[in-house]
Amino acid sequence: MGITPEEIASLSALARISLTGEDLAELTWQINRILAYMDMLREVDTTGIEPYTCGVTDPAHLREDEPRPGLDAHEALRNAPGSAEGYFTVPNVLGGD
Amino acid sequence: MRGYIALRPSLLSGEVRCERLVGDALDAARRNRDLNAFLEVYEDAVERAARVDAKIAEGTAGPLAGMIVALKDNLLMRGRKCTCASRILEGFESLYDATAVARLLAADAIVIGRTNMDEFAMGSSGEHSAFGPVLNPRDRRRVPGGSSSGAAAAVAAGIVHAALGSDTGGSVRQPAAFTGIVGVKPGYGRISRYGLVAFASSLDQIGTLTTTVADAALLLDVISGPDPFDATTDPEPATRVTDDLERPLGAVRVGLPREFIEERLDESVHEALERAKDALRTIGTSIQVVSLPHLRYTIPVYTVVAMAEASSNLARYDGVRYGLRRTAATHTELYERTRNEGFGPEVKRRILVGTYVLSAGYVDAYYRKAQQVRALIAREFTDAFRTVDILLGPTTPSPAFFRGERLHDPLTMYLSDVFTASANLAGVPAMHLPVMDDLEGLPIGVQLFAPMRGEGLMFRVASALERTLRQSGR
Repeated sequence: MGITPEEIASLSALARISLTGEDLAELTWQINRILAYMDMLREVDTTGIEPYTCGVTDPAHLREDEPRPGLDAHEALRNAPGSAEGYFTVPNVLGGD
Repeated sequence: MRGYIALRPSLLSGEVRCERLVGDALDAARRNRDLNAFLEVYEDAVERAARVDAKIAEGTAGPLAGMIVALKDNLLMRGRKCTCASRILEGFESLYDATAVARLLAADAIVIGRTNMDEFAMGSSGEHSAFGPVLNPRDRRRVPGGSSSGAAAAVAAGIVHAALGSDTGGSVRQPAAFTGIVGVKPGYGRISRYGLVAFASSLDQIGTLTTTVADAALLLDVISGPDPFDATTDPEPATRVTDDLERPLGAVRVGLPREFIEERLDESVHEALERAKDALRTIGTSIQVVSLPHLRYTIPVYTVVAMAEASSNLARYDGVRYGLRRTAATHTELYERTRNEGFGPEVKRRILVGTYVLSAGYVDAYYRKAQQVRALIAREFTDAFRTVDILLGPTTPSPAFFRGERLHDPLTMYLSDVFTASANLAGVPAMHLPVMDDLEGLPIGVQLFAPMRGEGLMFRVASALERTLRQSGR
C-alpha cells in the first residue's frame, strides 16, 4: 500500500512535469493521504452499476456541419511562443542537426 | 454597491449614469487593492459605459444595461488577457468571447476586470494563485473561499454588482458562503461552457455571484440556453426564472439529507440551518428528513473524477501553442520544463494524482469505481426528488477559515467541498443563500438543491426565503 517517491518520479515523467525543486517527501506524504482517502470507495458494492460518464442525456446532439468563418492561421498563431511561416515551431524532434 | 435591480429604475430614467457607476467601481477597486481580488482592471470600461448611456437615452438598452460585472480569469473575452491565475498562460490573449460573456455583453452589461482565483480553479481558499492570495472583505485575516475567490470578494466588497465564476465542486457556492453573498451553480448543460477554460469537463459549470437572488435570476436568464458551440448544453430552451420569482409558492416539500446533518458541523452552521428551516416553515413549505446514503462518498468520488479529467484537460499546456515556454534542447524537455515552471504545486499534485488513477492497473480500481459510485449518487438524487421538490443543506462545514490554516494539507482543503461537490457529481442545480452572521460577524448560509431543469422552483424558494429572513431582521 502507498506510493513511493520513486513512483512519483515516474508518474511525473508520464505527466511531462520535471519536478525539480519540489519537496518530494512532502509531496509523497500528501499524495498518499489523498490516495488513502480515495480507498474508501473500495467498500462500496458496485456490482452491475453502469459508470456515470456524462451529465447530459444526449451527448450526440450535434450542430449542423456548415462552413462558417473561423480563426485564420495568423490569429491562431498569435499566442504561440514560437512560430514561423504559418506554423508552430518546436525544438528538433529527430536527433541533432 | 446595492443590487442591480434596485438601481435599474434610476439608470433607465437617466438619473444615474453608467459612466458614473463605472467610475465608482474603478475607484472602489483601487481602494480595495489589498484584497487582491482583481488581476486586471479595465480602465477603458468607461468608454463602453458612455455607449451604454447613449443606448439608454435612445431606449435601445439591453436587459443588463449598466450592470457592473467582473469575470473570473478562466472566462474568455476577446482581446483581453486570460491566465487562470497561472504562470503557464502568461501573455495569453483571448481570440474569442465565451458564449456566456458574449451574451452578457449583448445585454449591455459592463465588464470592468478579470478576477483572481485558485490556479486553474483548483482550490477552496484563493491561496493557490500564482499572483498571491485573495483576502476576504468580511475579515481580511481569513480566506474568501475558492476557487472563484476574487469574483466573490469583488461582489462582497461592493465593487461590482455581479460576477461570473465557475463551479466544478463548489467553486461558486463556497466563496459565496465565505463572503456572505448569493452563489448559483445551475444544472449541467444550462450554460454553455464554450470559452470557459476546462478543468473537469463533466463537472464544470459557469455560475453567478450576486448580492440578491433577483439579480442572480436576471443574470442567469441572459446567459442560459442552448449553444451550437457546446454539444453538452441542454438542447431545450432554458425556462426563464425571473418571470416566476414572486409567484406564490404553494405546497413545496423540502428534504434535509440525514447524511448532511451527521457530518461534523460548526455550531453556527447548525444555527443557520435551523433559522432557514424556521423561515421555510413560515413560508408554508413542509420539511422532512431524507436519506442519500452514498453522499458520504462525495469527496473521494469527486477527487478521483476531477483529478482524472484535469490531468487530461491540462495536457494541452505544453509550451507550444500558447503561454509560457521554457527553451530546451528536445521537445520532451521543453514540455517538462515548461510545465514544471508554469504550474503551481496544487495543480501539479492534481495532475499527478489524475495521472495515477488513469494509469494502467489502477484505472478500474479508481476511475471506473468512482464513476460507478457517481452513478449511485446521481440515482439517489433522482430518487430523493420523487418525494421532495427541493433539498436543503449546509454549504460549508464552517465559516471562513484563517489564511494558511489548510494550505499544506490538501486533503483537509478538499473536505471544504463536502456539501457542494455532490451537486456537480449529479449534475443538478444548487445555490448558496446567506442566512446570518455568527458572533464574530462572519456570514453563514444554506444551500438549496433542485432536480435537473428545476432552477425555476429553486429560485422561487430562495427568493421567498431571502424575503422572510430579511423581514425577521438577519
